[in-house]
Amino acid sequence: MAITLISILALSVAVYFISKLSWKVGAVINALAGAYLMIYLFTLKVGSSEVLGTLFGEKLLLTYTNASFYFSFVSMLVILAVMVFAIKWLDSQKYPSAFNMFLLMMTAASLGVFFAGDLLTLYIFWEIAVLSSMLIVPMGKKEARRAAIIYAVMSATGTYMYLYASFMIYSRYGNFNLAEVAKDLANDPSMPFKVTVYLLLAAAGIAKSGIFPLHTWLRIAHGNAPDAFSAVLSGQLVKLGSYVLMLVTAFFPTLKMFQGLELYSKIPSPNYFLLALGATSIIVGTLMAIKQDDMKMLIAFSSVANGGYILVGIATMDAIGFEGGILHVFNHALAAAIIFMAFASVVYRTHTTKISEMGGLIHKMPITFISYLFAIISLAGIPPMSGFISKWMIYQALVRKGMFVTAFIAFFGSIGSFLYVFRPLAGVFLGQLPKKYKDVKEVPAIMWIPMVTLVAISFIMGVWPFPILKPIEAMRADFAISPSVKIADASNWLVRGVTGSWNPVIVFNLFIIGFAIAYLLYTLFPKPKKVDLLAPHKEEGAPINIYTGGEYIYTPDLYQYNTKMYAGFERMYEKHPSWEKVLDMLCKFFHDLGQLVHGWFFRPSPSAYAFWTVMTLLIVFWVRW
Amino acid sequence: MMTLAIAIPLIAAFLAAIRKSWGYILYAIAAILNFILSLSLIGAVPSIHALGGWKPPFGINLVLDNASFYAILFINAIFLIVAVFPDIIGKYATVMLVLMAAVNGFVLTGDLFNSFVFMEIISAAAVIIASKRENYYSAFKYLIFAGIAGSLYLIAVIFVYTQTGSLNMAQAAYFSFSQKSLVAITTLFLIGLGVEAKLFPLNGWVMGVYGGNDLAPVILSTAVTFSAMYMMGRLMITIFGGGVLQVLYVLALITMLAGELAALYQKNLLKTLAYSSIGQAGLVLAVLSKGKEPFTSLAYFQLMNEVTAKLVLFLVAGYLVYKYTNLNGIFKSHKVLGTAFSIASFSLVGFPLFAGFQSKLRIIMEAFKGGDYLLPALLLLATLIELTYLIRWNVRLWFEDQVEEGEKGSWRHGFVAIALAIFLVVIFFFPNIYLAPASKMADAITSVSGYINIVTSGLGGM
Repeated sequence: MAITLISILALSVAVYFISKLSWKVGAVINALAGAYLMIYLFTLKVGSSEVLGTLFGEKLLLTYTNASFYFSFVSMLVILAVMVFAIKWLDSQKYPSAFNMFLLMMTAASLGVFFAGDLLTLYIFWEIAVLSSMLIVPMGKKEARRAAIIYAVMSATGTYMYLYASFMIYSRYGNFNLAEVAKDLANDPSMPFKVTVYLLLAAAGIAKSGIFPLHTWLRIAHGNAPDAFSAVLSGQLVKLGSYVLMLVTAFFPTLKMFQGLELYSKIPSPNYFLLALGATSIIVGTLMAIKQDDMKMLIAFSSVANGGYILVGIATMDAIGFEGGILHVFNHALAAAIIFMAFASVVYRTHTTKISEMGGLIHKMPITFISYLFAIISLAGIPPMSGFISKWMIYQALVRKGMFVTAFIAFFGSIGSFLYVFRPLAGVFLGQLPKKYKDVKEVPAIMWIPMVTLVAISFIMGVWPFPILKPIEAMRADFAISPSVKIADASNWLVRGVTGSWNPVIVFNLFIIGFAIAYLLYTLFPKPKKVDLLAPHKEEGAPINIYTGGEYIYTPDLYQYNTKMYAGFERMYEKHPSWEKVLDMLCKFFHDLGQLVHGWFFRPSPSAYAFWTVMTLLIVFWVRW
Repeated sequence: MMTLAIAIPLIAAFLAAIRKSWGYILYAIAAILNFILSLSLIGAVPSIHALGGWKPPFGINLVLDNASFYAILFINAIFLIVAVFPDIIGKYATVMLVLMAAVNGFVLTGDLFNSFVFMEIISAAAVIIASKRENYYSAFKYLIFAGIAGSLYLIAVIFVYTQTGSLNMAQAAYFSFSQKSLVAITTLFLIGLGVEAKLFPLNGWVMGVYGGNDLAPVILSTAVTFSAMYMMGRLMITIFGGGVLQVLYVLALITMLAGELAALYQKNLLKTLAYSSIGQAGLVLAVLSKGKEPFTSLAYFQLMNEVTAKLVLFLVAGYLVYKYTNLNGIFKSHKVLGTAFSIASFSLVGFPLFAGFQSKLRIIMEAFKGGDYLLPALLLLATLIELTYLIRWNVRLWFEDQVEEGEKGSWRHGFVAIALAIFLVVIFFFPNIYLAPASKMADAITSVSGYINIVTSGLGGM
């Protein structure tokens, strides 16, 4: 493992120079390296362990667990798809060589995070992943420069809390090793220490997976990053955060650690705190996503909401909830990756991300449309796509635990997601095609093949989810969370819950029948007729006789019906308090503090300097005498 | 032999004063000779040289132990690196030579009054250097500060003399002061050295001086800072152990936060970096103020990393700031300089794969082991602020739309900057390159009896 990771890191630097000669070759090498890593994951034996090196007299460990396999596999699916996608897409970019280098570097570092066997190794790879991804973000739109800074700062806020906690653990137990630390924490008598460490470690995951209150970087970073990279950011990088959250809540025996702190239905209050943050993220993410006119920012907020689902699922500390949360990692990764790649394809052709500037692209880019359609079905949690199963499992856990408020929030988020995913669908792909996109074509095969492949995987896992549930069940067994029923029952084609079971095959067949009937009706009834935007106005110069609101329409493009699509609903929370503003205030506070220091101590005249010198002298004497 | 480290640049300075046109050549020769000389001194460690045959504690003596040896090696290496840039040195070769002599003397001397003299020479030379590019007002402010500091330093020396009857450092180290006089002396020394060591609130001059031209930050934030930090350790730990170390700790933590906050506010690249070096100095002083191993070695390790990174940053920034008026996206035309700048700033923040990671994480780890939970928290907060402005500058210099047409860069800057940047990466993988000398320095600094032994037994010398 160590050699592979290090050589991929070294290769990433070589890819830069190769890309300087020809970025296409660089992108192909990237894709090959990605494919190699994907195969490599299957050759590794679960439970194998390796020493990466020593640092500060401590061994840096790489341990391959079921969780490492699962998270790495999901990551590589997304990254590999984007790497193939980029082979063509990169020709629209300004910095292809640096993109290739940092993408590969980030890939190796992310795998390092999942392989890490101790807190320090995890931190090192984590920082490399953050740094290399942070350097790709500003290659996007103009606003992306600011986005990169916000991303770096928010991420570092979480990471440094994590680092602080790691050293707290080290100074107490003399160990960074995750397995050892888990044992030590289970036996530690000091509750304040455990709670502090738990929350500080979780902070890294909260910042990274876009959980409230550190979620604001997602909108600006995912919304402005280079289009295809948003797929990696949303599909893969935020999953690093989910991984850490899983480590601290499930891998560390929190139920045992926080015995006596149970708050509600056997969930300890620190876990409950995270759960509440997850639920808040669902609300915030959903409501904000509904408002967005920029399609990338819309899906960025949906990532906040889905990160919330994952956290809620894991934090329930219930077998089915945990499995649902982890399965949601896979579902959201795929759905977000497909959606962002579909957007990247649209932007590749139309050069805009504003929903209200587009429309009717279904006729021009049908494959992109189909990919997007399937992805949002999965994202909104509608059968038969795989996204349904994970949400269903999370609901099962919430219902069983009697957590009706959280369950209500989860349902609300799900219905909200119908609203927001429909908006780009209606605005970008359906409706009227603006004249300026008359000549838009479907993207080349190298770009749609990865999208369609991911759609196929997501679809198949919706019909037959047992292959992907297998590593999840193994993970659950590793963490000793025992279920009351056998959840994945492949021989009976069932995913079992508490209130009932889900048979994906039957549901799929019902859908197929329904689809067949609908198609039959579609062919029986008369074909729809395509008309021009200004239907009667067939030729130039003919009198215009379309009008609305007492006005003749000359520029139909302005009447995009997607503008303020959910105005009625949005008006209900128009004057909502903005968390971004609170964080801006915090930034301004530090900035003003800097100004104060600068103005009082650094800028003044020499006489003031003499004053400060004497003051210091006097204060020191006074203190020490 | 070790007297040559002071004599060579001093002679060269006289010659350069006579023949102005030889200035740069003389500087380069002196820098090379001094570097070779300090390398060759490794065989002479530990030893002393009694000037004029007056044995300590009566005469002035130079002390070469592990601490002063590695300090002058490091310092002379920096002077050598600066010698690559005739355009930065410009007409200041004579002053630079004087500075070189004074810094070497300051580090080597074993006599308190002698160290005062060298410090005054350093200040005088530094003020002249600070006035490059008509940066007179800032240089004047620096002069005032240095003047006050010098007089307090002198008063401290007088105090020591009245107590011990000698100006010899080893004698002072041997002498047991009463607690009150120890506090008085160390406080005065703290303020006197605090100006050069950039201790809050005595560091008001830094922004103007480092931010005013391209020569001052390159040499003052590196070699001179290093010598000041060396002397801080020597005086506060070796000679007057105890004293006001807790006060230093508190002031250093304030320095760290104040410097970083001011840097966050600052909009000018050189001034941002100047404030950043205040913040870093605060960190080094805070760690140094623990007064014992392994903190002392980590302080010097962090200092070496910081100085190397800052040398790169100031070289690149000083070069670009005076070449272009608008720096947006300028690295697109200066890729090598840009890469070096980015690596140096990442090292400063302490990202893994770069040198700063090694020192910062070790500091956090040792602080936790020592039961100090405050220093790591503040260090991480300061690092967060530092990361904010350094990433901001990196993003701006790399990715903003370029306003000015890039010109062909100077190969000297590119070569030196990238070589040092690669060196920072090498140090991440082989931290012992810096850590081993740093811990030897620290051993020498923390061992009081060792120092006294060297001076009393190592009589003679060249």
